[in-house]
Amino acid sequence: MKLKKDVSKGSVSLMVLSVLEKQDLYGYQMMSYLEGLSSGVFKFNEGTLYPILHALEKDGMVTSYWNAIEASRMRKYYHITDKGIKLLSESKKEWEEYVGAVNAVLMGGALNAAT
Amino acid sequence: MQLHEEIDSFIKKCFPKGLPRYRREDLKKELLSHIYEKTDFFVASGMSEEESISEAVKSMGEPYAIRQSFGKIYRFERLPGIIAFLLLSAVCVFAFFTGFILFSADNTSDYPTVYHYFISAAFTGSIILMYIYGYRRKNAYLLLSVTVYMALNLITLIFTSGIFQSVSIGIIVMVCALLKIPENAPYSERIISDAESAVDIGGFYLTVIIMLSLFIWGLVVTVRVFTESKRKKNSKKIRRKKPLIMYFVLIFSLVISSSVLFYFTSREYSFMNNNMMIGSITRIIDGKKGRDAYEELEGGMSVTDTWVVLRKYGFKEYPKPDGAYYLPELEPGYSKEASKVYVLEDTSYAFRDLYNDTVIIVAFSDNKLSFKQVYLYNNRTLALGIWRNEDTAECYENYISLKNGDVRADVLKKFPSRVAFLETAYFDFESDTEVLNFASSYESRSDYSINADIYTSLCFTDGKLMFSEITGFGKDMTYDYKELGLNPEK
Repeated sequence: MKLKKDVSKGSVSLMVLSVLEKQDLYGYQMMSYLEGLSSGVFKFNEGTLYPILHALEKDGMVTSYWNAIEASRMRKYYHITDKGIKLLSESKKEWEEYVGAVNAVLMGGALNAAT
Repeated sequence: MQLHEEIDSFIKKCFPKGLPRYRREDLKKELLSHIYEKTDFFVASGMSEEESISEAVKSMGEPYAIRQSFGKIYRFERLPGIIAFLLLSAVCVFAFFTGFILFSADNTSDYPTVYHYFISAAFTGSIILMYIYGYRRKNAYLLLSVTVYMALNLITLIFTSGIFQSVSIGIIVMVCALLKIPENAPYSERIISDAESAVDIGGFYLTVIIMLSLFIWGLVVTVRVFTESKRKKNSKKIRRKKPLIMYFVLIFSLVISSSVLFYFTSREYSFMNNNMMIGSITRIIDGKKGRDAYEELEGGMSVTDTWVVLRKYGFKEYPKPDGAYYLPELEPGYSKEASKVYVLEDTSYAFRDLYNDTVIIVAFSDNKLSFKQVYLYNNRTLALGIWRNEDTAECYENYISLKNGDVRADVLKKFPSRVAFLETAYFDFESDTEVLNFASSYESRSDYSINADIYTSLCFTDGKLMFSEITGFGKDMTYDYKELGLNPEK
């Protein structure tokens, strides 16, 4: 399923940083990872990933480098920086708090209804 | 490497305008890499290559959304390009309305200033940059507009440029000279020899060469971009961003407005001029003032009263570069001891800038205003002033000695700005009638011939208005010298 835009907005950058924390990836690879790890939940227009990557690079969260794979083919790999790791760590905490609060409301509502 | 049309089209739509080249290349490589990998995926799953490419491009999403996102991220990188374009446009508009195009009229005369060179160079640079920008962006219609604009200017230069001051035969005479067409031979000799012309022939040739080169280059580039875009066009309609009609309206407006203004000013104060047609706007604006002043000036007015009228209409001092000139605060009773020399301003300046200007000359005979024409400089100043110089006595002597021979050249050497002479093509001094309007003097003179020139000179010195008439040119030049006997007012 495709998540509504207002929910996924902002979290995509977080997810990108998260996958980059494990290893350097290039755009197409990153897209495949995100789809695979989310079991197909996260599926968005692939071209829109690149503005996100470029924005992260501009903010200093990631760096990039080109790697030649064949004579005429190049891939642009992205690497998370220390600044990106720090932001990721803080954002993860915020996300966990947020998710916890949402779950508490949802689960709490269901329990009240049950009683 | 030639990209697939669909991929190429998609990639181009992803770039915001004004992005620097290095950034565009980087984005292009990255997006291409993704599309190729996706294509390989679809091919491996059994699709044909064409279908795979189509699906791969489709999976990238809406290119305009990508462009918008990149535009926000790289907005400051786009800024220099946008600023440069705005500056170029401003320079073009300025040049458009002031008539300073390329090495225009002012540089084809003897006395261009740094300002003229700067504006000319800036405008030339703007045209060149617009061509480069249009070619790189493959904007055929922008190229066409600029090329037509250049064509109009070239046409104006060819048909209206003055070779020798007010003689407005322009390049036609030059061509005749080069081809040695017999009836133009004497005139042609003068032009080719460059011995006596007040116009910098080198500057004129340079102007023509530069303008022609720019026009031809622009034409070639325009045709090339048009044919390239036709070749790349496939069965799918390419959505045009700007309506074609906009460019035709632009060109049409330029042509109509230039023609109307040129015609209008030509009727009233028609000097053929070196400038682009739209330069005649400046004449229209100041022509009214000139005409109003003209109406108010009356025969018989004193010098002082004449000046009061002219000031009223905003005429100001003619500024010689070193500040030596100033307007006469004419007072009665000037004396030889004061060594004031009143001269009508150097018409080389006036003529040079008359390509923009209306003309009224003021002169006096027997304490009466005998004709009404004033040369304007830069449409604002009066080409009538006092030339105050330590050598006034010398000037006087030199001028007097004109009677005895050809010392014009000597005077010119001593006084390089040739301030001692007011030259006009023709006026009827004997009958004390108003001087014909300069343009109409050419139109109405049945005896006008390019083989003959008549120059009249006035010098007001030591209480006397001197007049000389110089006929012919070069070896055939003759002088007729009169003292008009104007006495100062008491």
